Amino acid sequence: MDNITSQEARDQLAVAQSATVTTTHDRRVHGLATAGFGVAMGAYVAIQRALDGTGAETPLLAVYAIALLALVTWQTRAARSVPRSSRLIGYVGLAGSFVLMMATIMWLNVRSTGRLGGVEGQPESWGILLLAGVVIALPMLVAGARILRGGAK
Amino acid sequence: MSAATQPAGSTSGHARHQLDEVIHAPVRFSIVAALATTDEAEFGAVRDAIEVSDSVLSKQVSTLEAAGYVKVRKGYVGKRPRTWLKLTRAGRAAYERHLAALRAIAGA
Repeated sequence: MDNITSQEARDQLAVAQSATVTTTHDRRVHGLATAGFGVAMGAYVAIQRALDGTGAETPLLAVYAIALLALVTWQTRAARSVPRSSRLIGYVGLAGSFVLMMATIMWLNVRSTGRLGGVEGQPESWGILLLAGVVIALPMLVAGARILRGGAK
Repeated sequence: MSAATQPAGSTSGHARHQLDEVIHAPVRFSIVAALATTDEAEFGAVRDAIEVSDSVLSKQVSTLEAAGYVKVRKGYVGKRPRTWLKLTRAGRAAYERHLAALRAIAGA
């Protein structure tokens, strides 16, 4: 090891520069799965509010749980590597979606009392529920896009 | 745990003394370089990426694991057994030091 030349060092650096395990497919799987978790969260909150009081909440919760399980299973089976920093990016996105979900639920609860533009006793319009779902999903959609594009290298 | 020929952080001597003996071997260098681009990777994915046999990869990974540079995790995907490889924090730090030494030698 003591007689390594500058050319050999450059060769090793070239090897390091070109080394990669993660494929575009792996990146796509993790990016889409992360975005999918966000969409599932947003859709669940929006649909749950729309179905509030109809008795369909339990089947909806079951569908939500199955959807999350299916996403995790697909992510685990389809990808052979976890792109660098994708877990961290995913957790940051999840934390953002969770915070926005709590804020959105509080906002919808306040609106249901007749304040902040809501009408007491009236169900929310689909437009408002769609907006709530998109807001909740947004951080994980951004995280998914970052993972897809390459994330923090 | 560092296998460098001089203590980490030492500023004396030629940069080649900062090279890590464990990482310097060509196959192990390729393994560490590949793992440095991921959070975790399947044994088979690393094998295919660096183009070595299962036995060669297994042997070199054992050496890296013994040095504390790689963490090996065994599990199942469905009913199929899977082995996952991950660079430890110490492994990543040693790799960065090794790269810094290589850059110093290449620029000399």
